[in-house]
Amino acid sequence: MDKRPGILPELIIPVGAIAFAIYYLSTVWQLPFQARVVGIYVAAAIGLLSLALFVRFARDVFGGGKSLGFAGFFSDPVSEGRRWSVLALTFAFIGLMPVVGFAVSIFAFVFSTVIVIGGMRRLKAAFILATCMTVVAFSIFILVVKVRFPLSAVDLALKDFFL
Amino acid sequence: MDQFSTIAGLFAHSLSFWWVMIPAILLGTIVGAVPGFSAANTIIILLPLTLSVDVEVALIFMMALYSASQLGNGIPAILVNIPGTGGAAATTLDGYPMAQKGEAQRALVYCFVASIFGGLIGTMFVLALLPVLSQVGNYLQSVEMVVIILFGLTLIAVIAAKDMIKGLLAGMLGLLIGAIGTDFIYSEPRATFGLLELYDGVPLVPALIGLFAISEVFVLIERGRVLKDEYLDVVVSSKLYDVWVLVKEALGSWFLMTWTALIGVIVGIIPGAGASIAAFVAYQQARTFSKNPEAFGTGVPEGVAAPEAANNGVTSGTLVPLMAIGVPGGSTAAIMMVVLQYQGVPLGPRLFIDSPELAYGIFTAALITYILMIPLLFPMALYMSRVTTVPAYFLVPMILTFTLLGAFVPRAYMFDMGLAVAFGLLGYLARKTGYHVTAILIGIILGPLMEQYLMRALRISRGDVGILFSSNIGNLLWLFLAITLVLPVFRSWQAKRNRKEAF
Repeated sequence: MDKRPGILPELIIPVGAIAFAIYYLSTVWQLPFQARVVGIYVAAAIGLLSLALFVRFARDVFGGGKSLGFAGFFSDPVSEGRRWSVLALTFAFIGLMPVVGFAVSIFAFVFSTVIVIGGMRRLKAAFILATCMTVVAFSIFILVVKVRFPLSAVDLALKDFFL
Repeated sequence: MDQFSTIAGLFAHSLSFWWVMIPAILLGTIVGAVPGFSAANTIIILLPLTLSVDVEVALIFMMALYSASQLGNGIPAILVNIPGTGGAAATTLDGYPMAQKGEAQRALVYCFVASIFGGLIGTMFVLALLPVLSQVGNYLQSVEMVVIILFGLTLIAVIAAKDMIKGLLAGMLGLLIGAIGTDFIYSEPRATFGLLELYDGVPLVPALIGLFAISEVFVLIERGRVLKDEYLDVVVSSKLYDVWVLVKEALGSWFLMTWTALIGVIVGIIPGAGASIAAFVAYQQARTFSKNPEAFGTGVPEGVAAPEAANNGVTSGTLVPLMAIGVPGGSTAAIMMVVLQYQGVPLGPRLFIDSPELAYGIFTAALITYILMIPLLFPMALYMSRVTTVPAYFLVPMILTFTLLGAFVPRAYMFDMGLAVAFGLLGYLARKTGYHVTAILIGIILGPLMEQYLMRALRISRGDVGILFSSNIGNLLWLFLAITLVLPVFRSWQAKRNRKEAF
């Protein structure tokens, strides 16, 4: 197995930056000069800097210092699995909050995240932390600061109970 | 002598408002430490309070909250690598490595000492030279501002990223992301991906939360806890007495803290430049004049003291143009201006004649605030440092929940929470591949400002780019910018040559 660090992860940001710069320029091309001037200069700088990086990466690969792949980018499978699970839970938290409301979504998110990272033996700790976090977040954001988070019937009942 | 006796009288008068300052300090420290909250949006939330009380009480409350929040920004930057605002981004460079090797308490004490010392020095400097300092902003037009912003960004890219090209690319990507949304003159949407939520530009709070907090959480899952296992005993066995030993040690860096605080005051006076540029300029200065510049970035206390003294110096600096010419130096100062105008306070030169107790009083109140912070905050350093021992399965859900909720707060859009996660993925990728997240964030912060000044300059010159080289101050700044770019290349070439000669 090739143990040299892979070059592909390092290419993602410059390639993405070039793609975004092209998209940016395409949206400003018809606009007056002053509205597109920053885009033109910054896109040009991104192009030049990326080119310099590509030349260096090519030198690294042909010189044998780095390989063409993702070697060294991903960590052990357990950590990687936890990371992807937490990411999925985060998206679920954001997606479900408008449906199930503030308190329930926070409780479920905190509880499941502790379990995903700490394992099933943290069940009691997960329950305590999720309860505490829900109470603190509800008190600060809903009762004190009155931020307009999506509220469900559960939240409204809690709000009526405390206020 | 008259001015001196007036200030001495105001000092005693400000002291009588301790009951306003103490809750403002505690609140300010908390809001400063929570990403998503800042002094500016807290003062906005508390407008019903500040508009209804006496103008002096309101002003002292806002000043104490603002000063404390600037200090609070550094706490999460050290403990969990998440700056409360962009102004504390430079603190992460050495503060977090210190926390990882069991020196969180030391880093926090340096942060507190530098913040308080920097705040005191900055405020005294402003009090002594207020009439002269208020003129600085008048010499800086749009051309100079464009170069200052580019200079700041270049400095950050060169300092923050170990690889200059990657740092510059990250900064430029940040600038382009910052240029998303409608332009300032024609209100034409640019690169919004058809999303209405991006018409006002990329919101800063979700960007900060994503780039720092969420990306850090993904790294933390892999590591288990902030602190490296071998340093666990050091943190657990530390005592309250250690705080006072560390305070004495930190005060040994008084010279560094003094001149970096003065850098903060000067940068703060320039409208728009702000704490992020000041902190990085101070960090770069500290590194340049250090006996061990190569140790910076690995966890040296001077790397914490310099940016913290500077960003607290900014606090007094931003108020100078507000009080002297009625132009706020930053967003918090702008909100303070709204409160003062509502209360019928005339800003500008007349303020110093009609209401000297307000014009100078705000600065004497700041001095008292910083003194009150000493007994209130230092004992907390010990307990705060224990955060680094908390396992990831507790810390990750806590950070994720509070920061995602914080991303929602400023605009109340669910979209902003999703945007924070998207920036989190970008930040994680940047951390793993050596493109520094700080450079991206500072680019996003400075992008809209730079565009505003560049557009103004080009309108004045009717599109002639030559205007950027038409001012003496601007040209001098271009020269500094070129030196900033060339110097690291030259040094690395010199180091290579020395190594070759040694063989």
